[in-house]
Amino acid sequence: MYAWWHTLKNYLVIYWLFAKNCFMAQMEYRFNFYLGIGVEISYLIAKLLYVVVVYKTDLHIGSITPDGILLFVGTFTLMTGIYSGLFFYNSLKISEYVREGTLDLLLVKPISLQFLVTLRYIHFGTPIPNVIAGGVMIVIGWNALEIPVTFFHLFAYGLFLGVATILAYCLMFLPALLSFWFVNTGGLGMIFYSIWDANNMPMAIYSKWARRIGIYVLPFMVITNFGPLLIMQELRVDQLIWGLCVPIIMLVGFRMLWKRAISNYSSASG
Amino acid sequence: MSSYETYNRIFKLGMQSALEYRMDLIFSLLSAFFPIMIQYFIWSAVYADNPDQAYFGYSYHEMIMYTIFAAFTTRIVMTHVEHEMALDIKDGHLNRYLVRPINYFSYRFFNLIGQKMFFNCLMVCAIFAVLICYSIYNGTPMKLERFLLFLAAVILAFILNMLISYAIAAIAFWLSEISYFFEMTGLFVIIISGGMFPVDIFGPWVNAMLDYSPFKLTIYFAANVVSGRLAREEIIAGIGMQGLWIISMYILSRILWRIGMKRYLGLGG
Repeated sequence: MYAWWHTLKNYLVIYWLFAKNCFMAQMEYRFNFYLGIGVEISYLIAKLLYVVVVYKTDLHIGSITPDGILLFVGTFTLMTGIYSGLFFYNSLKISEYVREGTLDLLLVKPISLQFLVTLRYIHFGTPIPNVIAGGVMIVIGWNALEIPVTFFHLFAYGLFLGVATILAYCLMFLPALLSFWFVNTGGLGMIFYSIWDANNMPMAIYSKWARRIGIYVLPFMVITNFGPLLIMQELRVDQLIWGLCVPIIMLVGFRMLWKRAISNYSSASG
Repeated sequence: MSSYETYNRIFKLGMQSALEYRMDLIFSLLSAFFPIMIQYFIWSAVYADNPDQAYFGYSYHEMIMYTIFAAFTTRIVMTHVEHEMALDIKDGHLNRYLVRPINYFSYRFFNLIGQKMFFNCLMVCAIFAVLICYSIYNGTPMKLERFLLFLAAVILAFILNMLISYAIAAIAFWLSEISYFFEMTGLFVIIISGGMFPVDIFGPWVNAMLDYSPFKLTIYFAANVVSGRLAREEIIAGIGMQGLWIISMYILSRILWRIGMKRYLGLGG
């Protein structure tokens, strides 16, 4: 137990150093840092167009009112911020490591290769607009739905944000992992980004089969739906159990796939 | 070597590079369908309670048709060529084109056509297939004339978009690290061209402003030509406007590149 705790502490220290290093590097090129924020603002405007459509058409999805939809859009926007800050740049780097053979250098480092490759870079600028806008939308939606701000609600919502972060990690790195077999996986990445964007709306909008696939096969829909549904008291018990189990299943599955991917690495590039 | 042979070779090179990663090409084709599915579900939910009501001036069927055609047209006309041009300027690779007996714009243009030829042909086939399915579903004969006018409109939209990218790329002469900037402008151009939603959702005021820009004449115009929302006279007038904007953007981009070239140092890695 002590050894496990010691290892965790070491990795947290290394992660802190990664964060510090990335922050210093990004502050060195401040214009780029601000432009990164600008790019995210433009993507945010694109997401907000959906909100415009929802309110202009007074869209009701079953029992979910436009304010309820705003809670879902806010959760999606917040999760996009977390994903873009913690994972997006690392996923882009993986296919570059494979294509150019630079993974060789990382293989010899005395820490977990998965940790190093998937969490090395943190972007501080891009999450800012999404986290702020997502937070504002969540607060507005939460208030409008008159959901009481209790410890249980905050804990439950926070727990599912944690689940969502693990699922975002496992799912959004999948196309990058496949680059060990196919080298160029930009097209597959585009499919995954499109599926990610499908979370911009509550899953109730989609057909029954799309929902089943989105919850049980590629659990993208768990990411932004289960948290809001739980605090709106519309999450079924079986869905709640699945929501708590799926991050463990995905993490184990991802680890196994990672090991297979690494064993497939040939370092063929010049 | 004649100009025809030169640019034909460049076209073929572009085609070969596009077909190098076939699996990736298949995934890229598949990815075009996902945004359509998402929007289909959204609009179906919007119109579910009032199927006969028109939102933003579109009936349910018109909105679905617009969504499908706009998504395909966006994939056809978006070039993203500004990224490569900016890299050429930043890294000094432009030098190699300046000393060769070719025109840089023509090189990029024919290379791009080669790169997008296979993909765009498939997209046009998909649009044709949707039109056939729609006419069978509705029991109305498909108008070949409308499809041919769409082909003309989408080819001109492609050229117009390429010229917009060419003009925007000239900013790389003044700013060295601008990949983020292009990311921003690319998305902005898609939004105001009607690639996400019909530009009618922005309201009459923004729409009136967009009438004086070339953006509405790319995705929005081409999608509305093929969906049958525009009368024949409006299509002809629109194609004429596309021609005028192509000439204007060509002149503007040439001026920008001429000024930019005076600042170009040819340094870089």
